[in-house]
Amino acid sequence: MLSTLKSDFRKILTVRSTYILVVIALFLTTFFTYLGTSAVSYQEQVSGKVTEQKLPDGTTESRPDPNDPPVYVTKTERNLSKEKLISNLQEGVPVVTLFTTVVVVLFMAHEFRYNTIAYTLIAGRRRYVVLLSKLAVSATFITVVTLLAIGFTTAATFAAIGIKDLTLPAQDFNWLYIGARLLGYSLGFGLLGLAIITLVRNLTAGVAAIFVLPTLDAIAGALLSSRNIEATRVLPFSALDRISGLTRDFTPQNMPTDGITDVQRLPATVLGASFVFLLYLVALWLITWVSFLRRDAN
Amino acid sequence: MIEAQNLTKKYKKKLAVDDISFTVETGKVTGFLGPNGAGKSTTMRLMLGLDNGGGKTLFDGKRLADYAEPSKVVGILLEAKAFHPTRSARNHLKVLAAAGGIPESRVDEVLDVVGLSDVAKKGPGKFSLGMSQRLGIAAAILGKPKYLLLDEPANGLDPEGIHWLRKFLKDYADEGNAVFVSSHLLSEMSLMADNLVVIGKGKLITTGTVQSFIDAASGKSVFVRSGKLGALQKTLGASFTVSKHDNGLLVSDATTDQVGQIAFDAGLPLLELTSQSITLEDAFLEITADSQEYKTHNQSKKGGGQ
Repeated sequence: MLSTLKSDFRKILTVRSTYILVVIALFLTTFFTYLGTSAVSYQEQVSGKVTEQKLPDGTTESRPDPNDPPVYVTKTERNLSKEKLISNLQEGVPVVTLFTTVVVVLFMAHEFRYNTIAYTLIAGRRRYVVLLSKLAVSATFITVVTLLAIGFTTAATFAAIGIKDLTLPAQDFNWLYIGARLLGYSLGFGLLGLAIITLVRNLTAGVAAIFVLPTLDAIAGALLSSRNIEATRVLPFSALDRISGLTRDFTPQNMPTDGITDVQRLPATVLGASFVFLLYLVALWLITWVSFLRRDAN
Repeated sequence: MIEAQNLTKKYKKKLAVDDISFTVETGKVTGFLGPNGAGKSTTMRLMLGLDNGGGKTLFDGKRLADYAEPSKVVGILLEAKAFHPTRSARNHLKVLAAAGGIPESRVDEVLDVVGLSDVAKKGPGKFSLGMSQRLGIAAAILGKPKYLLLDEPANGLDPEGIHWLRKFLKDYADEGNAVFVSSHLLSEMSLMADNLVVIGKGKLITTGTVQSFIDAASGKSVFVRSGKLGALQKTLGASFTVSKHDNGLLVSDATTDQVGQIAFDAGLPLLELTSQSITLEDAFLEITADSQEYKTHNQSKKGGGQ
């Protein structure tokens, strides 16, 4: 097992695409986090001629005169919301996760695409050893890159605060809990991608799946919503998004629970969403596992 | 010794490998022949446990997976371009060395053996087919295995490369190892192989030495030329089947000793007396004539007429 692990680590680290994708992902997240945090100036309409119009029912309505150009002023808001950093992490980490998942998909897909799986299976002796090693290496890689993403996003946020002279209220959150949720999201997404590519064994289909499936999930979620069923309770990617949806929990007004009495319409709790997602993940991995052990090598 | 026992592989309704058994002896190069689609690659994959099917293959009495370090028992080359195109040749071999528990120092040794030291840092994606084959052979011998299973290793090699491969494989076998190699270069196989395993349409056709394979296909025949051809034909016709052939006679199921003696006893001068032997290619085409999965138009017509 140790030699298989060593070989797999070497595989993922000796391919150029690994570094290219990680660097692009971290750059994008860092850059846009900085940009989003430092954009403290905004335009606000302060005047413009307002005309009154009499409506057919006899009432009067005030509305801007479309022929009269409005007047704007630039305002500056230097006090960031308390949840700004959490919001940045919530937006930034999933972007990096998507790239990381592509790396993991490539890591497995290349075995089949370039037929190195024959060497891997012979050296590994047992197929479950090969699969366990892929899981371990992928999970380690995802964890490291997610921690880097958290670090880069946090650094970019504080860089913007420092450079633009902004104010961020005291951050008295449970950061271990927040980190665990972000890591859980990344691991969940990545290992789902690994299961899919191990099952389909086709690079194009594997990469397409990690982009298409969340979209299908969102469409299904909308359909379920019309039937008064909350997507986070039944769909895997909706459930996964619930795990990474930090601001929903740390900004109470964002939880749209007021007045909802039907439990099916309430968003799942983080624990509940984790359970829903894990059900899908474990079921998919069971199918993948049996398939990998029983099918021909490639 | 490798013992392949009752290897069977079925794809849906098609039996790709049908109960094949044979042995590969140590100290010898065993050629693995068969027409396209005969099931050679599938047989090799079954031997290595890469495909799921019936039967088993024992390497010195044990299954490959029962060895602690299989890469030190069997070296394989199943496909020339089985590598990531941008991972350098050296890193490719380091990956394989790590997986097989083989010291990294061995990587540069094998690169040197196959003559790829100068391009070790380059990604093999732009390697020619011949260079790719050399890298594949380097991967196969990385663990100094006792057994080599090579599928078409000579494909794409230049004449120097083929010469090198032939010598290398013969020397490797002479060191007490077993080499099991498939190839469509039959002239090359006749120079390289000691034994042959021939399959067609998934079935075992024959096994044995190269010479016995050729003899089985051609039978014994002698070509003889004389100034008194008519008299010679009459004399030899009393004992053998004789037919005219290229200004001479072809005597079936005879040896040169027998023909020479009869002619001498009859006082007939001979201008030429040679044992007729066919090439491995001729023998292969004859023996596998009914096992060709894919035939050209001419072959089909010829086959249909036979």
